[in-house]
Amino acid sequence: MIFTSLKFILFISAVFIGYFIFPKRYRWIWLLISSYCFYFSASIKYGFYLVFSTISTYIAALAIGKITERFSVPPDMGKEEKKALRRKNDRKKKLVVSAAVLINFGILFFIKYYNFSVLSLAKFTGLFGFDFSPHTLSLVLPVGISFYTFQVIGYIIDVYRGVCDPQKNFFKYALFASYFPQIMQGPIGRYQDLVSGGLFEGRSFDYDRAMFGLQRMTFGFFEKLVIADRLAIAVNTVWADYASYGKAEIIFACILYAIQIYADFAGYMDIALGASEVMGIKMAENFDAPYFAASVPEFWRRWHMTLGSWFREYLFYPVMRSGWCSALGKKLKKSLGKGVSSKTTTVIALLCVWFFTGLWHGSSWHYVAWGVYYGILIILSMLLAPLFDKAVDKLSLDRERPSYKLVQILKTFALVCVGYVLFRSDSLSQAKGIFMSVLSPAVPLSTPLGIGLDAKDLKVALVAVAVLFAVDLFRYKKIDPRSVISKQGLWLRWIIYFAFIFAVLIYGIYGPGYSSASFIYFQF
Amino acid sequence: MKRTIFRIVKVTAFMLIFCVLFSYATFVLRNKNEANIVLPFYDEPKNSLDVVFIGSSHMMCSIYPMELYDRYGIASYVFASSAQLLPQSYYQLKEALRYQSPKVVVVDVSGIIYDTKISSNEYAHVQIDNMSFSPIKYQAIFDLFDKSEMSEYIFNIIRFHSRWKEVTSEDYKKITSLTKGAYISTDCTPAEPNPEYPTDYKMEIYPTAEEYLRKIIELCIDNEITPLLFNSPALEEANSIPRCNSVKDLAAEYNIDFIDLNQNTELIGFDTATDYRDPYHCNAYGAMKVTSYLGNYFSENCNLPDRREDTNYSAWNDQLDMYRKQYVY
Repeated sequence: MIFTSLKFILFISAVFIGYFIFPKRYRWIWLLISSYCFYFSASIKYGFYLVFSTISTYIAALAIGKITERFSVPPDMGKEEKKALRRKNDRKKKLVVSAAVLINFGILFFIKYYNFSVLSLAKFTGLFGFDFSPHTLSLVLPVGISFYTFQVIGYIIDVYRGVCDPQKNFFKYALFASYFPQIMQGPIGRYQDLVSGGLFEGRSFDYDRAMFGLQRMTFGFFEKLVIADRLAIAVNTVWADYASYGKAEIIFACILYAIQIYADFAGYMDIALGASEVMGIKMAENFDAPYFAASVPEFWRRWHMTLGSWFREYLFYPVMRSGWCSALGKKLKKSLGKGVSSKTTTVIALLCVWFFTGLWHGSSWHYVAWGVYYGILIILSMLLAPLFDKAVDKLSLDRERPSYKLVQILKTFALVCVGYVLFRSDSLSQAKGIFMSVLSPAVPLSTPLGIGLDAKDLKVALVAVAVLFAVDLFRYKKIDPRSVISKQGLWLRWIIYFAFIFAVLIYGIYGPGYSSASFIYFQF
Repeated sequence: MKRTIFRIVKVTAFMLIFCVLFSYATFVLRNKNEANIVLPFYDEPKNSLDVVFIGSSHMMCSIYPMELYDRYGIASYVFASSAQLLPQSYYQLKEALRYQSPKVVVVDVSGIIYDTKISSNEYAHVQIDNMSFSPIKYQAIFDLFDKSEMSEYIFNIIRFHSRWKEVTSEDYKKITSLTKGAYISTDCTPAEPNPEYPTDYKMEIYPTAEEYLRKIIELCIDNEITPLLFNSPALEEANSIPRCNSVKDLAAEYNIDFIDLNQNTELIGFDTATDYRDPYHCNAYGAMKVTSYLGNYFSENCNLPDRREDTNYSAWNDQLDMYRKQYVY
């Protein structure tokens, strides 16, 4: 059930009504039923994986909880004995958490990466003359598996670390794993955040909050249907036949893709978070005006924030703290000094994170290349930061000047657009072809070919993107645009609301006149 | 409490304004194909029509109600739409009966060559979108379409919102017409006469078509309306002639008349060289012949009142004057 379908509108209306009709204590049950209906409506087969992940991580968390509960140190025990006992206990917990993580990542890996792995291996061995024809499987990737697998693994690690207690009620836990606004595309929620956000509470109906939620949903539909799917027409047209286009059209398509993917993903988030807000459940934010970022690391602190924080919490820090990384750090510290040692270990951890960030997005080398591209950019920005700082000081540039900030923002946006060539392409060779088209002197600056959007569509796109820019500017300044609107008079408010609603209904790309477009992040 | 009441009023007002704007946007954006044929039907005074013609473009092109009124005093309307099949006609008739209680309903049987409920979504929209907002419309939608297609008929903005680029000032105007559902054309495309079949050569009527044809007849009988089955001159397609021979049996079963002018073109002196707009539709010359034949039939068999002197029908006389000025054939 795609968020932009009439089916979803009917579904969410029924969920809202049911939620506030149910007694507060049992509202979470209604949400669980709704979430399972939502997920199983996509495919019953997909549901099996979700149920398995839920059961396995639920049991593992309970087991870890039990091990922690039963652990007690006799008061008369010696220091060394206490340490040994603690280590034994930790080993038990580690065993359970490792098993749960391995099983769940194993499923994700097998379904998502098995074919990719064997095909890549065959290609690799072929380079050395060892040819074999790999046995591939026709595996269907369950919708949202990358998101909910990360969410439940995050939970089990948090339980292991003692960050949160295991949820004893299986059905409440099942709701955490399957909560419908986030299961398909995130945000990848942390258990303790969702609990404190009111997932199980059943908060009372709040008129203002519900209105804010609905406004946010409307804006999400606007982003997805008016902007993202409209720009997708141009982007798909150019990408499908990039060799026929000039440099200007290709660069323009890259910029449009940057806007498309943001409007698409942020649109989904606004619908999801808005729906949740209506029911009084707070979910984690995933975006914070990312295209206002003045550097690539800042961009990643503003873009897909929950994925970034997941990798930071569960991959970056564990790698940094791992035995081998510490050992390497110590060695380097002795021979090359503290600075080199800490930078080297950070670089290793960052490369790990960005390799897997790329791989998480899809089982293809162009995603890996995209991830590594960001890894390199972030490492370079870290390593070259002192040099840049010196240069800025020498040139007496004022970092607080708007023009300086603007240049930084544009520079970051340009680097992000370059990355999108890797991300949007179907393969590395296509990405290479696009880069070559932009760089090759043989390719003309422009061609008379259309990009799939006529002048009227481009005008609508321009106005809509300007609106998105304005809204993001508010968000960048930490002002909620809805609060600004709510302070206006009734008629102006209503004109704004109707303008958005009818912009979606009239200018949205939906219905039989257009081929329906899924959300980009659904495939991940 | 006061605050709650105020909020309920506010939300209700918002919803009402939304509904008004939504209906208006839907009207402006939607394709107006044949709206001028169908929508003026709803402007006819309630229970003022004595004959209603139901069917496809064959009906629109071959019957001119204004001629029936002018020459025979019969108040009639062609409540039809292009490529309308018999299942659609059943709901079209139900819709007509919400507003009118005609004495005769003439049913176009050309749809017997199809075993489906609609011919295409494009044409089905022409019928459904021109229907008024009523339970009949939703009965039709639930019966005629697959689940996946229903939403675009319930909210046709789903299909037509992309027309925002084509909207002109015409899209905002109220739709009127003087033809009472007729499509008037003087274009001419000569065609060969239909092949001759033995009158006893029959092919079955498709089950779906037969089911709904029976429903139409029974609906008429239940409402004490005389059903008259009718087939206009048109080039034969998909064995329509032998299938029409089976319609004769069905008409006999219900003891009703079936006028098949496609097989009896000599009855009206129909000339395929001059009387077709295209080989499937009559032009004005052909339509005049068909209309005259039906006018005579009604006069002789149906005992319909002559409305020409009726003061309640004075608007028809005014419309006729304007019609004569606007349409010359």
